[in-house]
Amino acid sequence: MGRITENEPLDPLSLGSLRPGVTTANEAVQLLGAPDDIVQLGKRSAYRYRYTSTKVAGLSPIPLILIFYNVDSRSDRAWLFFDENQVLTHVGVTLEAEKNEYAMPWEDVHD
Amino acid sequence: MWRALVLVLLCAGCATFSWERESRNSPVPPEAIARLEAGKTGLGECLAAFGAPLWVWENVEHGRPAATLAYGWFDVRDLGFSVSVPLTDNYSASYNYDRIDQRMKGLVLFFDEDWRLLSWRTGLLQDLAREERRPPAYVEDDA
Repeated sequence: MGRITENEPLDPLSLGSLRPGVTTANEAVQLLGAPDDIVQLGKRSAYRYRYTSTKVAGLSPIPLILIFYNVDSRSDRAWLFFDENQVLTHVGVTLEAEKNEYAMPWEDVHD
Repeated sequence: MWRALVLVLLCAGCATFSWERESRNSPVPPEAIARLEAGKTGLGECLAAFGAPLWVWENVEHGRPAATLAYGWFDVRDLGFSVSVPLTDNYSASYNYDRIDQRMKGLVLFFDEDWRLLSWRTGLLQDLAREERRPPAYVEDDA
């Protein structure tokens, strides 16, 4: 079994304090830190924050001959959309990084 | 003859039976896709229904700057039998998040510059991205 993570988990409280129409890009960066990616959209922009967690489980009842292997990866993501004045207009958040599971390939852990 | 060959390969550790599953991200709910309305649904409603996309791209609609949001997921099971002679053993557990896996299914949403939904497509995300990623629009600076 093994676990791989990338970046830091997103803080729901900090994300919840973002106010469309009020929060500026500067304030968002002070609150959340540097984004993982910035996309220019004409004069507007979008900032991505992301944390990924991957859980890997393997089993080999007959070593090197019979192998069961499972990879489950989920991520926390937030996209912040700013207008041309660098004021927040929209926020999209998905928090599911901690929903991943160690499992075997026949298990339906997300059903 | 064949039985002897299989036995030799098994004993040599060169033949492997494997059952693998790989799952990345949760699929978007189909009922939410069914509620989309071109020209009416806004970015906020899409973000509320689908959460944060994996990628946002800039594109051009009728000569105006526009944006594309891409959601992707996959859940693949493989039963395999392989015979191999290991010459080198390289395995990387890391996943390049900015590279679209060819197995990833996806939903792509196209917005105009006022964040109104223009259209959407579903399918293999790599194909959708290849077709739809276009050079960014040139925007004149007011200054």
